[in-house]
Amino acid sequence: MGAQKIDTTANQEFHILKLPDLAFKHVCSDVEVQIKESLARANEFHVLDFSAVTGLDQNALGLLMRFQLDLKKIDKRLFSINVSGTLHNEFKQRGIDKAFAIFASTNDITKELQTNQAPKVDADVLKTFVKSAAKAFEGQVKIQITPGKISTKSQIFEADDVVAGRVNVKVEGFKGSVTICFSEAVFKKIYKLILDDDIEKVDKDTADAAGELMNMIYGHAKTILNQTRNIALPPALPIILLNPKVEKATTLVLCMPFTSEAGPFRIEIVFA
Amino acid sequence: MFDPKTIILVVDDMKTMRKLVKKSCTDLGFSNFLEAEDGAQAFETLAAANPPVGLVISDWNMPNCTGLDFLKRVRAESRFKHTPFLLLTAESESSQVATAIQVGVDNYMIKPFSTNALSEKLTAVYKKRNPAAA
Repeated sequence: MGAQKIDTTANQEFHILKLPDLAFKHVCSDVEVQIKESLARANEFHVLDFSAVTGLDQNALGLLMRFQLDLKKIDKRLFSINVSGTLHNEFKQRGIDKAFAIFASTNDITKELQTNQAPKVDADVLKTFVKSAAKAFEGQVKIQITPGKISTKSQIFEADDVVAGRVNVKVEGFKGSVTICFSEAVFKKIYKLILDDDIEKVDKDTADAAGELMNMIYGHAKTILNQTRNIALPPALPIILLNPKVEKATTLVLCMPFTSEAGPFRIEIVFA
Repeated sequence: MFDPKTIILVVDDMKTMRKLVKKSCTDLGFSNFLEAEDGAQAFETLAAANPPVGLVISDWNMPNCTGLDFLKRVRAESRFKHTPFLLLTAESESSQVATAIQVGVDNYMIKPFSTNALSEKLTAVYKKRNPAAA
């Protein structure tokens, strides 16, 4: 019997391997060659099309498992489509269904990737917000602030945040919020520096200073990004949050910490 | 410069910013203030003021009625056509500034601002409205 050619349709996003019926042992050597060729390709995503597969020879299964592991080693991913109910059950019984990442179609794979893809973070945009924060504090609070290292967080807000000023943003490339967060002690010092007024407590009358600072930071960043990067951030009214509750993050949260003579505070950027 | 007895209408949705504007104006010698939280409330306050308001200092970005929409209403009324009007904004985009000038703002100030910067702007507004005094 001549070598069976495996259909390897390479569409724009995925490299698709149309598998022959792997119930038969003799196809294994051909599959092995095609898998080796697939591993050399640049595609990040590889899809096994099981539409012609009625059964799985043990050697063929071993080849596919090795393919999945080899892809994982080079940070590439394997998906499977057109897997029959019988085969799917067999994979489940062997505990390998997750390894094959089974979907109904490549459209479903695309939707899954779009939902779970880590958002792209533009370093220049972050730097603009850092500079805008420095300008707002220098101009209105009359203090210098020092940015710390930007990191990710697993929660939104911290337990000692007493007040926050937030703007919600929806623009091409970013949907989420930018929030400045203060502890009580730091906020009272900042309020005193802005208004020369000692406050007993942070309440709805005094909390809007956080909103106003966020307003200034956002407004300045909006102007700069429009002028230098043609990024048109939309107008946004700040929201004031009093005693915000800590929430577990379900999406990416960036933390931009600052230190100052009034104490430390943060800007959190939450990607929706 | 404006007479220290001038009644100043301070418009901003943030109480902190209204306090800050009033504090800066107080530092410059002013002592008579009216306040409003948005453009709609500001127009009612302006219309009802007796003695009349001599200067409006208004934020741009407010809910319900923006500073720009408030300015449009003010300039549409003949009795307020010449009321000195200073807009405060956190943005300095040229298109925004051009729009405000077209509508009839006397000057605008970018936040954050200092008392010195406010003094310069108020002087400029006064000279514009009182060219004989310039």
